[in-house]
Amino acid sequence: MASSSHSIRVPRKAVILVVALLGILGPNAADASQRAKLKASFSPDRLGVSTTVHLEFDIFSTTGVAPSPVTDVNVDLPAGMGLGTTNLGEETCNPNALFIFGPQGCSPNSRMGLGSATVEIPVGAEPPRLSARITVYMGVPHEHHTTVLIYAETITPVSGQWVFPTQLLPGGGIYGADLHTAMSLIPTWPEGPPAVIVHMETTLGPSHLTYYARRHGKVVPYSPEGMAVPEHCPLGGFPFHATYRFNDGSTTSVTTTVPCPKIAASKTRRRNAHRAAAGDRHMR
Amino acid sequence: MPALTATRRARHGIVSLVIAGLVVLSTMSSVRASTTASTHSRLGQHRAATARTTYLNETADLHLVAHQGTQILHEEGQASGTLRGRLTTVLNIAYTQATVTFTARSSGGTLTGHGVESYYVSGKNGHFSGRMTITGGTGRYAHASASALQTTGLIKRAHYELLMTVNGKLKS
Repeated sequence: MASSSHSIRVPRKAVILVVALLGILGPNAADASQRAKLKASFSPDRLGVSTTVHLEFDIFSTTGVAPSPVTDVNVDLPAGMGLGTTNLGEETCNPNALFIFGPQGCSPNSRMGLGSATVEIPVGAEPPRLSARITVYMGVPHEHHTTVLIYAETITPVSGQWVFPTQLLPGGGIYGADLHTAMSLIPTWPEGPPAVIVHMETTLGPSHLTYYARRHGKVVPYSPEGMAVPEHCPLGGFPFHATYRFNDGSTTSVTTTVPCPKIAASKTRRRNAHRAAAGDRHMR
Repeated sequence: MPALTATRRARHGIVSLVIAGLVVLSTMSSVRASTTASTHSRLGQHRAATARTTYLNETADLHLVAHQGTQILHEEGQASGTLRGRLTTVLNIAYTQATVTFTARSSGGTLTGHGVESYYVSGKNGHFSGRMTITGGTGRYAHASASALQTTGLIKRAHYELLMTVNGKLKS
């Protein structure tokens, strides 16, 4: 894919200046042992209604040094959901246009989610961290797979943009699909270590998104419809699973669940209580 | 010697008679054989004509008539092509696959099929493609079978209009 060559667009002088100001001498991302934390939630969290999926992950090392950069992420999504019947990402965004022109290069109706990320440059005792804004766009399908684009943009202390194409692949078992992101290394400066994403959170859904349509000559704002929470909650909740591959060759996996909505749980409790009562009557 | 001559003549006549009889018999049996063969041949032709193969080339334009949640869509519309007639489908759309069940109603009978197709989204449209199997039929299609009907579909995500094509060999 053309977008795979997208990399940092950061003024090198600025990076060098930042590094010099921080008094950083050399890279320290050595043989880190990486771990990950994953959080997921639905908003609103009700069965059978349009929702926004919140995903959040943290990458850290158990040895205290900066983790190795992530090169590959697979996020397994719960079965029973899908983009097929939503209008989320009703326009496609060309990754080249996004990279060259930024968010202005794509229609607002191609946005599918918003978030933020923290990027660490693994140098010195206190590695500098940059904050990035995340926007998820509907991309052009690649090899007959739904493709979304994760666009990350840093503003201060240096500005840079990255585009990470992500494909929706078939899932297995209790998972309905696998969001696969091949992440190219994020260069910093010549001979410098690649930057490391240590935190990322993003949404996939209509929350804080406004689309626009032209009706009777006027531009009318509207909110897109998100993926629907399945009408039945599986035992134990809605499962999410993520696997991270690191530049040092190691991998780590993490699982989390979105608990079944309380309304459904209370209904179930009532049903069980009713059945228990009926059982008691029958026993008598 | 005349007796001998007479005996020889008589023997000659008997031999001729036997040969003639054999010729007649053999002719009759060959006639019977050819009649049987032609009858078998006709039956074979009749059987071949019964199990005929039709090349399906259907295009359908369907619209949403009902839905269960946001995953299961019931669509209905008109099909044009080889069969022609009313087509109803039930689509169960997940992230990357769509399960399609269809019933085609034409003047000759009904035809039902099923398939699990790969599915992807491209902006305003969802696309599915794959192969479908005929699972049953009535009337002219009571014994219809097909296991590799190539199917493609385009669903407009805004209002769920479905454009679908089915191609392949149908035995009936």
